[in-house]
Amino acid sequence: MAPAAASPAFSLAYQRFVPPIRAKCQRLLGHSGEAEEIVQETFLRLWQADIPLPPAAEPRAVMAWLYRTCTHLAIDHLRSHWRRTRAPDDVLETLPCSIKLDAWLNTKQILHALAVRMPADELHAVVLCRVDGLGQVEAAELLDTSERTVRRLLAAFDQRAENLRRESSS
Amino acid sequence: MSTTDPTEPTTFALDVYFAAGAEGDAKLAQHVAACARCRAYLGQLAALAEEAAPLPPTAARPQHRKPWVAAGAFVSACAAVALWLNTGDNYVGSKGLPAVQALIRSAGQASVWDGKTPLRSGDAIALRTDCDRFSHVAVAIPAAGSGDRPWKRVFEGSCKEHEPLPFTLVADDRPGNEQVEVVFSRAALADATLQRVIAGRERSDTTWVITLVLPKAGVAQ
Repeated sequence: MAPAAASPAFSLAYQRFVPPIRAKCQRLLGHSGEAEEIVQETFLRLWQADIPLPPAAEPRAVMAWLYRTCTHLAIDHLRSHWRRTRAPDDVLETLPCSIKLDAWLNTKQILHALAVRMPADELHAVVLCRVDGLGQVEAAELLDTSERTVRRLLAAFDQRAENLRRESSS
Repeated sequence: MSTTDPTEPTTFALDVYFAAGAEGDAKLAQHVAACARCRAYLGQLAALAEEAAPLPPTAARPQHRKPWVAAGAFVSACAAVALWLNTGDNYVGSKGLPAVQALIRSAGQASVWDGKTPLRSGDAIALRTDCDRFSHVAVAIPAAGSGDRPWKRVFEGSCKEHEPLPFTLVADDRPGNEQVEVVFSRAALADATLQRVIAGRERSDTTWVITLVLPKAGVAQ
């Protein structure tokens, strides 16, 4: 029996891509064990998928793959592990400037209330655009759909949020 | 309702910038230099990078294998079927004892070892530990030629709860079982001490030895 080692490409990818994916999971689930499990599962899938990694691939392409996979896993988690207690919003101090804090907190509150009832494609669009702070063009690219579809999904979510607000106030 | 400002770099753009080594996008770099929130975000990513489990050093011999260690913590994803070994027999770990979990990669498939499935030559084995009260862990395999030092240490380091150890082992095609000794301790062990505690299969408040015996398929026992 002999020791073996990681491939240099995967080692480098792991070092460079784990932090953004961990931060992404924490935006949705807070600093939690669930967030870390999703990070690990995402990189397990990267390892199994055996896709090209930098320098053979563009970092953007790898990040897009990781975002897609991680979002899918996080949504599965949200829908199957809905809890009465909301995941903590403990990453506020480190959200980049493109994310507007009030709207971000509001989105997370609504997601907590509605995630189990929302269609998966709508959840994907909302998580990417409203929680992760992606632009609609980027989200469309990641979801392999059109920008128009992303806009429609976000509009459906906004309608859902409005209905929830009305239900709450009546 | 929108949470983003289209004039600012998106989180995705910042993430790609970080993963690319913070280079190649002058416009974004200029923005980051002037924006405290984006600097804080990138600072957080740098801090998270330091928290990530270190990857193993280059192997003693070249191996074109999948990087178990890098992906190592993925063992947690298999927790539902986790088999923890702390007696050498199949055992579902209980609180209060150190334990070892073996993950096998065979023919492109990774799984938690069930305690009985034979290994094939070339299969890779990763180990994850439950340290209990011990701060150190060493791993040894039979040394070639034996003599007065029958065990070759292949790893020694801090024992991190539920983290994979930073190396993998590869099953060879020699006859016999594969045997791995995992030694938990409260401090780093000198080689002579390691040999002694393995020989005695010591289990005390200061050292705890777990023996993994993995049978091999298609090899005369």
